[in-house]
Amino acid sequence: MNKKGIFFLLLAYTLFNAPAYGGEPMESVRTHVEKVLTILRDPALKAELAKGVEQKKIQRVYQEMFDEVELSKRALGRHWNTLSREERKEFVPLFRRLLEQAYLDKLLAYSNEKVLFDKEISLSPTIAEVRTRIVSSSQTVFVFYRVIQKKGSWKVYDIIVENISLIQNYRSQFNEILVKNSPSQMLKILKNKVK
Amino acid sequence: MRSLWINKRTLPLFFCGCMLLLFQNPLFPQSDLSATNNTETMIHPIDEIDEFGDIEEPEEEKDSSLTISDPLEPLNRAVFCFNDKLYLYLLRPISKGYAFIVPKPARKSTKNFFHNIAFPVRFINNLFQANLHGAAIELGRFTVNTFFGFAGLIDLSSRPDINLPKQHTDFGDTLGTYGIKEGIFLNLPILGPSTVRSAVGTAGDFFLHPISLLNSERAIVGVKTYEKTNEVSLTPGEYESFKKASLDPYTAMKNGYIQYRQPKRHIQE
Repeated sequence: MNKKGIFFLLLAYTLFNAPAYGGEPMESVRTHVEKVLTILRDPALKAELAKGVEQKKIQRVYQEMFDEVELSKRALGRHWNTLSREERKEFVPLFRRLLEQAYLDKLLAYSNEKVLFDKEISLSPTIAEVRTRIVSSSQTVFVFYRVIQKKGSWKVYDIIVENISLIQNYRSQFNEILVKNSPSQMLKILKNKVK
Repeated sequence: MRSLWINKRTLPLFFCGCMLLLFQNPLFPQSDLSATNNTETMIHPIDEIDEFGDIEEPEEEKDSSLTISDPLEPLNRAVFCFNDKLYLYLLRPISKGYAFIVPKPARKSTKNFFHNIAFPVRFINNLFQANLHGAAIELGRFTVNTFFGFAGLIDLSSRPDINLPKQHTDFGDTLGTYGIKEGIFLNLPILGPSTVRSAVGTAGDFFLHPISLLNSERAIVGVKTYEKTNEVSLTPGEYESFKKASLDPYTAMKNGYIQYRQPKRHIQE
């Protein structure tokens, strides 16, 4: 191979390597979604889930998949700062449980459909969007996962279903509650919801 | 010829270029000197980060485009309760009974059929918005589904091998493209969340919809009710799980509606 050939090889390497962006965010989301789906599709477990007997298995996947503190911060927005440290620590697991239910219900409804992982878009060095589609015979639902890189792994901090950001939706609700109530009252409402 | 590309003089330059490209690579975020809050996690040791500390840049700033004034909130909330009861005591039991009698494939076909006959609404509004691409896709969908999909009972166009995706649009969007503002938020009895612009749009779309050719009001209401019942029967439990997941269902619905009406990002790109 002559020098020109090597040059082009190098050029191609540098050019094409740059936008490739690891693909790590998508792989991370794919692994977790597939884990959840495998659990959901297990008929024995499905029956148990319906009875609400056991969710441990799925909860473990959630904790790997979601960045619960980041989720909470973004869902509370500016109100996060008005909560005391203790209230924040109480809020995070409560909100996670609410989201678990919501996400579980969404996935349960589509658990028999095909999930396609379309692409990932880099929004900043540590934030990416993974675009997926749930395809069935009658409809296609677009589900995008926003992921953030922390401590070396990519974790989900928002889910956008058909253009609707779940976190933004919760932010509007928490805002509505917190302009009328104190943080401790809000925690009480949240507790009643997830009990 | 070969010295034209890399020689003693250009080699350092070339090397510098390579390094520059490499360090702009998002795979190496440590090299980003304009590090934001998020990248700090990678620079500092893990235990130094205070996860429960204050946040500096609340997210709300990005929400400004998503606020629609709601001066009629007390009334809208009352209508929300009304619609909620209407669903609970009328629509849900009826759609359940209907789903029990009519098998799912038939209900899916019914949904496809209703979607297909609403073609003029989407086609003409795409044209009004000068979205020729959307109009062409809708025309293609209508042709394929009407002639090869048994009068629209089968949505062949959405199959991956044909891949003509639905082009949702309405007269509310058309008014928006001509610069008309959303107006205040409205929650309509039976019809649900809307804005002034959208409500006007819905009324306008009625005349583009073939249903307006029916000459009795009773028939129109009947057909619309049937369409809605069929739709609900295909997504059982959706409303219930929405309510279960919401702390304030009214606000959740309003925000969801507003977000949903925003331009679809995956379609824009």
